[in-house]
Amino acid sequence: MSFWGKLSNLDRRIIFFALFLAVILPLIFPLGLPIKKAQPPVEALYQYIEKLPRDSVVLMVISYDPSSMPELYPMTLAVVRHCFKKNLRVLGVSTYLTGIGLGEMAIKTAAEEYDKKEGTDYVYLGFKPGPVYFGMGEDIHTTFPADYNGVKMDNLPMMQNVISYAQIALIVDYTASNSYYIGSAVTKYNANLAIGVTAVGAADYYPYLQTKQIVALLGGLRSAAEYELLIGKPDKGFIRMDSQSIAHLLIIALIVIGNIAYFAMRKKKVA
Amino acid sequence: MFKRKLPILVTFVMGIVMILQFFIPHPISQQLFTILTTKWLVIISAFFLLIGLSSLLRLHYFKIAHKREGWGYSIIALAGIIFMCIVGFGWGGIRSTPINVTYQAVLVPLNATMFSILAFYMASAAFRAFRARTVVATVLLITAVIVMLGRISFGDFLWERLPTATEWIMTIPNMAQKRGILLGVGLASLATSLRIIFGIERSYLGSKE
Repeated sequence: MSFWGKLSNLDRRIIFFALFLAVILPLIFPLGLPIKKAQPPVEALYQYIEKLPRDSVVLMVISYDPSSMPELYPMTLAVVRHCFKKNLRVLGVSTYLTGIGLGEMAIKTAAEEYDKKEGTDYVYLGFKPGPVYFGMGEDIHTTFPADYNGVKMDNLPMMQNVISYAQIALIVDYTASNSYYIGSAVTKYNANLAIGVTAVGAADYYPYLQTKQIVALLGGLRSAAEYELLIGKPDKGFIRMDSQSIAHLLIIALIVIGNIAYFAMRKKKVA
Repeated sequence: MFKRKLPILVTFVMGIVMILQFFIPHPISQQLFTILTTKWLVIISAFFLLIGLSSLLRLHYFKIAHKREGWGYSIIALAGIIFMCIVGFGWGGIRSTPINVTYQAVLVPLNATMFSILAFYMASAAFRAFRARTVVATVLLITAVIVMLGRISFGDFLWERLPTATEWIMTIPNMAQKRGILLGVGLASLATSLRIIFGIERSYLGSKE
């Protein structure tokens, strides 16, 4: 077999190992590659939250599970931090049974940093089966009679005047698939919605951004890193971008090598 | 009667009621929607979970009983379900420390590992299949490389306007095709919903339908 033939049939284990190194090494030895500025869909969310009056309620919807955590958790944490920094109140809910812990972790981590109190500054509702995005538009207190800790809604000071989407200034849905909040909260209840999504799913949401059905769009780890940059608190999104950079470069190199081998072999066949 | 006609009748009545309700602003109509969304849907969805759990238990039980291919994995699946039930019910429910520890130390890494394996297959597939065989394939390849570079910090380092170029690809050509797909999916969903409401599409009743 010729050199190009051998290259074309490169053992997949070599590719796996190279990718493993490309991901793991930048995490151990950070490169600190810069991100110069945030893109407009990310900047839009930052500006939107900046303009919200103090004590406005922002609903964080955790529509993902640990499989999408590396991409979506950093942006969740960054946006919650921004809300607490601006003295906004945060309401959290999970639409994934296996995502409950992630939402609670993000809100509690940020709450401790900004000295926010549960029940007054934030409430975490946890999970309820079914399309709660409709129920919450009608009556949050009926849909969730108690919060995740089992505390009745009547005993939560923050929830006394928060009945439905009408009292919620912004909904941010972090999703690994479809956002059901566009067809429910936006279409039926005229709520303001921003979407946080994995990079691979971001392409699906640009039409909604253009029609202004959503106010902002965070797509993938890069958006998380950009948001961290905007709030001046570089964290996991920023650190992981080095790893993603090298992994993407490796994949591009593999595509180029694969194509060179393909054309070299085709040229040989024609000759 | 109960297996076929009753579900079709319930689907028809509820489908028509919900369509009509949408166009009737009367308080009674709105109250119906509130009751359905805040109570009925939650209760019905809770039954989905029970049905899902019972199906899962049955499937793995039969796999083990008949020693079908991969039955060893079924033992692990069943053991996991039983373990979580014992831990959950025995030590204070979903807020208990054992459940949280199991969630953080087992479910989170396992789930993340499953998804991250995709990256390895994608790298291998990109190397073997992403070829500039035709003009269209070449355009796709170049676009993919620009978007991949524009989504990483190295893109800024290479050319500071690369992320802006990526954003242009996403907001103009990408959006045009996505809009077409969305409209197609919307119309197809509408047609399928009507077929289900009028009992033409009955596959949800089971394989025999």
